Amino acid sequence: MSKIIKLQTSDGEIFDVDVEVATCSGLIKTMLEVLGMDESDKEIVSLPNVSSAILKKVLEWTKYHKDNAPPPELDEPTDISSLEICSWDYNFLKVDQGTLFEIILAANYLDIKGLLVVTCKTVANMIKGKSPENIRKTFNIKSGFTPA
Amino acid sequence: MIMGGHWNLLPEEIIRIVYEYLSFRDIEAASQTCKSWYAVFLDSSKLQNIMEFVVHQEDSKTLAALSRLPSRCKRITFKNISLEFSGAEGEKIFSHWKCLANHIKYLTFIKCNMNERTIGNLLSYCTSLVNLTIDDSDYPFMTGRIFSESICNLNNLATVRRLEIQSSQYLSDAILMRISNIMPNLEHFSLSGDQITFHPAIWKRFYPSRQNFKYSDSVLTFKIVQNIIELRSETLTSIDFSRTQIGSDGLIALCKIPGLKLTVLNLEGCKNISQPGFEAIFSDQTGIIDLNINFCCNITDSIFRDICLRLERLKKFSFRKVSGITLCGLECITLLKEVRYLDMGYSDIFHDRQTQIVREKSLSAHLTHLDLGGLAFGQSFLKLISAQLKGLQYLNIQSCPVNDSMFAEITSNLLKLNVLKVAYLSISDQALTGVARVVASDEVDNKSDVQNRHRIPLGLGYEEVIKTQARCKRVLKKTLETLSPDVAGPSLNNLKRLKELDLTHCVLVSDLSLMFAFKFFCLKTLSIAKCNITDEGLESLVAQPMPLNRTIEELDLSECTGITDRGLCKLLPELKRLRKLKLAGCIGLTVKTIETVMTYCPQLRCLDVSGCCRIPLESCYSLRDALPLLRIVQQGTGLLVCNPPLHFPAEGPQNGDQHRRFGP
Repeated sequence: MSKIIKLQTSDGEIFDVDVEVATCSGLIKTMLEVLGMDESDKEIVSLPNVSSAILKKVLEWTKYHKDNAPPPELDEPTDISSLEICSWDYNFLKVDQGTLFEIILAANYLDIKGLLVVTCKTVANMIKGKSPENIRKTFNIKSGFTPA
Repeated sequence: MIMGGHWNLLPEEIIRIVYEYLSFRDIEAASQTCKSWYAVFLDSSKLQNIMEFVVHQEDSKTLAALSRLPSRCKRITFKNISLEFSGAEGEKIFSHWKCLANHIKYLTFIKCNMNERTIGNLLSYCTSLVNLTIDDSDYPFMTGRIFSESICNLNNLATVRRLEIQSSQYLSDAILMRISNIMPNLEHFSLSGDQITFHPAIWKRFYPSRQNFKYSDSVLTFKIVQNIIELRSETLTSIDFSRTQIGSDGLIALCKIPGLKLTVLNLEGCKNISQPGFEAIFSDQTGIIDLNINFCCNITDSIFRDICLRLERLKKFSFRKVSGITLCGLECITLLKEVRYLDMGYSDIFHDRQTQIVREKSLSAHLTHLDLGGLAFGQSFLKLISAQLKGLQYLNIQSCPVNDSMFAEITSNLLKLNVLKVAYLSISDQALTGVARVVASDEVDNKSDVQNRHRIPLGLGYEEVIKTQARCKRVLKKTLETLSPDVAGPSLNNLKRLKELDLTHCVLVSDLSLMFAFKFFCLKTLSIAKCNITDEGLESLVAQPMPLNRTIEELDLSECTGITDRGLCKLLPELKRLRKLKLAGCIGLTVKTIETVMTYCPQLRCLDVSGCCRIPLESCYSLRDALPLLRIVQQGTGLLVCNPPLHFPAEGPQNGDQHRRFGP
């Protein structure tokens, strides 16, 4: 039987998460290594930068990629053509801009490489072929900036 | 939480990851949206390295253009500049230049009519220059005083490693000696297209006595070039003598230079070299990695074998349009195990027997760039090539006898292709959409009689053929609409990484391909000139979900007589990246297209409407006034509306990413 770890989000909710799922996150993995596995049973790992709604999404992603498909590998960074993402991820990330933004920050904070890559690719796809005004509109960026 | 998130507050490292997945134009657009995205854009050292800033003549206020350059840009090109920087304005320019010059690594002058003093002054501030190119600019050399100490001190140029002085008529021995003294660390030296004198008699005439002679100001002799190469033989590894009169004697002389170890040699278009010269150079310089002998006419089988046997480390090899090699010689090409780049277009040696060569020994597995333009190979060859060379990124098979089933080999195997050039092929929609293999119904079998090479394009009046084609098209469309994507055969969509696609003059390609086979993430250059395209096809190109197909920067629709204003009105507003549009010979277009361009394409830089007889000249003039940065070409009517009156740039730079034009 695999171990369970408790994660507490910024709004106080506590999640019971399979250790294997949780250690997809580089942050939690390091934490557990520092704390030691046994103690982590009792301890609650607090994640002050992640809300429960977002953590739910992140866990959904990690669970899916643990069970069904290996998380997308970190592509060679210069290969701009590898913009495809698998259809599950595509549907998973069909969320509003705010949620996507939060997921990116969470993936960065929790250090989940695969999720970060997929979300950044999604953002890149939203930028492709648009004019600056359109990009502003897409991401709800206030206008008024003109580069020197 | 505010809806939409604070995207402008995205951490820098994440913006950087997003940029990794975008092309230069996309990054440029994204950087215009807010401060933090712009900061990352300016900060990215990778971008600073590839960005090239071109200062054109039409930036009539060169000063303004210079002051707009970011202070850390590394590549600057001056093109068609004839200004003299003098007086108060000159001082202002130089005070701007001083801030810029320290960071510049690559500096290029193309067709510049500046005098030697201006160029000298510009150069004197560059403290970290690596690459200096002066191309096709005679004016600075005319007085013969360029690079002389009396004008300005240029000792700072010792950092220069790569020097190119090309297509210059007035380069002389004296200038060359001065350059050699100023730049002692040259690694690459190009005299491409220069007027070098090889004849010993001329050397004797200009230098009659051996003692205390003065280097000539009026002639460029090979003897002096040779002396300089000898002087710098320790550092010099790359020499470019392309388009010069160098002959066998010259090459033999190069071989005699002690210590010279070349890695790059360019002899393109040197038609005077004969067998002894080639033999000498290839047995002496065995360390060559990059060899270019395009358009050389005296290459025989034995020389070719020499190259393949001796130059084991060859990575890049071009022998375009070389005649004189037969299959026996070509066999040796399989000896080159390291080669990554192979250009053998139009070399006139291929027929179907060559498959044996490849079958037995196989080409280098490292090959990423292959140019087979105009070669007459057969199906089995292409099959072997595509099975062996899965890593291929560039493939040019224009004007080759390739049919639909051969094309399927490409789309099913060469999935890493970035560039695919298939101009002048008789491939049809079936090949591009990939149904050829799936549909085995009678109707499609009917097509086989239309499948031979000598099909007649629609519109030439052969009624029967037209009828058959129309019927096939209907069947094909029906099939495509009902077909689920899983069962479809290899289509163009397999090539997800395609950045450049050239379908020029593939007259059998029609709207159906555009509808069903054009789903590209990062396509930048597309040519469907003279294809059988109508408005419907153009509309379907942008009917795909974002961002598919929206990344196109260069689009060639020349001689697509079926397209009208309606299609372009739908297409153009969607293509926000479009820089270059060719509509030559599209007789269906009227002033409405020009109006669409005016409203929706402020980013467009080149527009060709030659031979569009229904576009009045006046509308071109008003377009020119509305978009001052746009170059418009309208030949056909006998008139050239050019803004400014310069030539239409034939081709952009090799890598579109490296090019950024500057304007207000």
